[in-house]
Amino acid sequence: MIVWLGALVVGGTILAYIIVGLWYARRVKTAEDFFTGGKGLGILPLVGTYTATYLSAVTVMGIPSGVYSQGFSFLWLPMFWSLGAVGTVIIAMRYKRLHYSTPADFFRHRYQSKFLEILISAVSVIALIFGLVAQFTAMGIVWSVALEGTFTLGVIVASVSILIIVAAGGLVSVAYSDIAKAIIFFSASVLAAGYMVITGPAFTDVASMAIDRAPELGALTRGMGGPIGIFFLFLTWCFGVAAHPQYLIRISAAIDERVALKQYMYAWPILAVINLTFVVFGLWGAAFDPELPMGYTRDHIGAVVVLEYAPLGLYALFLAGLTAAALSTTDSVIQLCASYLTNNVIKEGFKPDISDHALLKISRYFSIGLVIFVAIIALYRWAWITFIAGYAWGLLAILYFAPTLWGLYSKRANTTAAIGSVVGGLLTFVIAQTLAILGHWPYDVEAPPTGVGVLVGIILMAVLSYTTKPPEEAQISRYFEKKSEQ
Amino acid sequence: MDLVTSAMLFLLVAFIAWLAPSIVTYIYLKFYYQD
Repeated sequence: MIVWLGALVVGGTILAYIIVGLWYARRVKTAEDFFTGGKGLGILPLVGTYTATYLSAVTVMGIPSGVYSQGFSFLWLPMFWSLGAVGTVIIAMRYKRLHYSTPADFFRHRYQSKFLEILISAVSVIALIFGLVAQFTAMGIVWSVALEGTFTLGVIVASVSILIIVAAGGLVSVAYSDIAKAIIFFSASVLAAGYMVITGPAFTDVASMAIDRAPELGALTRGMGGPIGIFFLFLTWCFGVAAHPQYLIRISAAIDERVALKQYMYAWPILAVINLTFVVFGLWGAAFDPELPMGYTRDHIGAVVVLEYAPLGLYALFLAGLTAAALSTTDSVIQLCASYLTNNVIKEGFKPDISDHALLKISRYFSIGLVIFVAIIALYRWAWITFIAGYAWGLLAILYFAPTLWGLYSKRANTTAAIGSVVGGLLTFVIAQTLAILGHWPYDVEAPPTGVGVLVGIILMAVLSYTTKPPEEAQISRYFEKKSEQ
Repeated sequence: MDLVTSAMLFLLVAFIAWLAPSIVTYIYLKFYYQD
């Protein structure tokens, strides 16, 4: 019975998602519509798409899984995510008025460097692929819970539905189907966690049960590699979230500057409540320790807890929410990769006279190829979701954070500093990763060794900006004009 | 302070941090745009 219910709910959600996506896909007429929704999104689709993008596999499965296995010290991670969002707000204050189609455009214009634009675009695609593998893994997990054990099928079904949406729609259909996803997920997690808190023992009692059972769960730093481990997590996640292209592109997609900022004001109270529900799922798992069926990992814990301690109807709704969360982000990340390849590498790098029609067509074919590639990698489950995603966010932090923030706020930020920051950060990461592979890297508890690259990148950006020649005033004047009246 | 109390306080700090982007944006819009 539960298997049929699960299949019905997950299948139904995917179907509904395809219908909404295709409905709005009719609005996509130009490549610009595909990349940024024609830069005309209002507050409702923006809050919806921002919320749904935050509710990725990394958060939805990662937080319950982390709290369940690492305890309260795991909360550092979602704290760094919201502090990162404060960083995005600071970037958005100046970024929106520049009207870029992809975040790599900024590098071409601000730093007058095609090399940097193509490097950023290419490494972004690699970084985003790590994020996609995490999402596809999540989809496999949702499906294996729903059907009790078919991870491969889950990955395949998810790939097909994502293909249809992304190849057809671009950011417009992503944004509108995201509103539905955000609503489903919010109601599912709040109702399930609310039910567990109201009908079960008091929240603090559950926390003490968990801590009695395993005292290390109550420690505030130990589970995450101590203060130094947490500092590296901070570097990877806070700066990775702050300048993540999936958020920068949503700033560009807003109809005006005020709406671009308001999405943060409305989305975070919703996300704060949802984060709290994730803590409930993780804690209930840690306190009551339900038996995980064969083949299940800690990343399954949220779904297992809801099935075990909430009514069946709420479990079904929660599965729908998980499906939605695993699908969201995926679609927007795929379309982001397509935008980089077509807009920045093909059009700016090699074929400036390419037609809009050809560009849109290449975007779609590339999306299809990418989905198939990622699905194949995801079939080999090789790490925890938050660990895989750490590569994505860490690399993106190296690429975007320092050059974007300095470029927007400092007149001294120049091409040498931006290239030095990005290349130096990437090289540092490669060295750290090599050490990790050889077994000489001590801080790999919940994140790959990307943080040290982020730190080196930030230092190089600051030092090189103030020691080398500043750019010509005329070249950068538009970045420092007073805000236009709206 | 026992482990449970410190864990609960930490959760409270985390919750406030989750509201930070909203608070920062609200203040910015209030002062910069007089919303």
